[in-house]
Amino acid sequence: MNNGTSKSAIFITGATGLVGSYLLKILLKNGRKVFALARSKAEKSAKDRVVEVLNFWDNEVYPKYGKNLIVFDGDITEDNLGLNEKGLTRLKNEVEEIFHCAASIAFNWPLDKMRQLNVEGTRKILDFALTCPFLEKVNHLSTAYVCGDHKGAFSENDLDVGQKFNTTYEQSKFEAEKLIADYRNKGLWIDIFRPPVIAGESISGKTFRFQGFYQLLHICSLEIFETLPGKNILMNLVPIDYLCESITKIAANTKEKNKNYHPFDPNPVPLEEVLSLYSVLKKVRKPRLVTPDEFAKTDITVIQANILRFNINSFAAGVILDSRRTMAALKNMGFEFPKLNEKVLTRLMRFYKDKKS
Amino acid sequence: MAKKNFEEIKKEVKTKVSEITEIPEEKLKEDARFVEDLGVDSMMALEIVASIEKKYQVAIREEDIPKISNLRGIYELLEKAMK
Repeated sequence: MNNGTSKSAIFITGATGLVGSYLLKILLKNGRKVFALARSKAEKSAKDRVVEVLNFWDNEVYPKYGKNLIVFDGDITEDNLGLNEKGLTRLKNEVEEIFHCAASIAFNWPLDKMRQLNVEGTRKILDFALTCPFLEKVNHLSTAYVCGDHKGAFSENDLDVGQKFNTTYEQSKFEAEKLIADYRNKGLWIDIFRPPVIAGESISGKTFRFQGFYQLLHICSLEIFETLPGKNILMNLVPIDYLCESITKIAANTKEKNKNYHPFDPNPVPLEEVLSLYSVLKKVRKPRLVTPDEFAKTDITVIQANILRFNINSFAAGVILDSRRTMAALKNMGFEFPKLNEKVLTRLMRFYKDKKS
Repeated sequence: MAKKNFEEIKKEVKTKVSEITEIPEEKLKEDARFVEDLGVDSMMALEIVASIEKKYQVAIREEDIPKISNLRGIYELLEKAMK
């Protein structure tokens, strides 16, 4: 039983990814012992890759807390997670909590390739979880965009609302949540966290993934589009630090089993505001935001349509992401989301703008 | 207005590609493949072409998209589209 002491060991996957690495930073700073599963790539060992990304966020963490970090070279898509007998046994017998963050966030992989990582990878982790004698629970990183093209409210308790998906990523994450329902029925405690669009660190603007929000800024700066089909689009944006602090807060304090969480401030930012701010900062012409119908009447090239297909056209427009249950739970735990104001937005944009120049 | 010859246009295109990819012009060999050799992702390759379409007021056809694999491919498509 997890009594919340710093003795209970955590197993994290996806520690080289955006959310996984930030969660790892917080967990280590909280004095936790963490086993991280990562892949080695090219000439870099799994450990080097994890340490590199930890240093990106805060280069004081590894020197101070590195003794509590054990990195295993493995792969969630392989049998036994790509671990040898010794590693597998150690992990199995020590782990009390899992954070499963490893996934593909590629925008254009075919469905079967996406499924291999996002669904089958999840299955392998959950099968592993079933073998751990001291495991209390699994925290699964999903996405609010399992809502697909659903119009209207979508809350923590919603999953299948008859939606279609804009990308294979959304579909695969939906399927992973369906799989989780099966494993919950097998007796595993699995909590699901569904972030919306994730941006950099609120204080520094730092990030190393430039999808979603940043892709929109990028499109703006290319000055290719006179208009964009973005009128009335509202973005649920969450800085990585707010997101991960709320996730670790819930994970450490929750008593309710098998819950879904929407860890973000329910007040979305209008796309109009985002692009206005950025166009001033970057000194580029802001595209005029029009409705999809009006946009359909404009002449765009095939290449332009292809660019938008995986960008603004895959943005969930018309969904109202409801995170009130999560906000209430967090309030009881003494946590409230800071406001995502113009100051923070500017910091996020400035980091991106300066990184590019 | 004097008509630019295609050699001048190729220079301009190379400069534009260098700006967008942040790869120095000297490294942009005509046959170097964007994705495999230069580490440019497929989305950026599309953006490069979109910028060029805008600059020269041309439209590249859907069936020609697979030819956008290197700088030479862009030159050829642009020359074709400008005729």
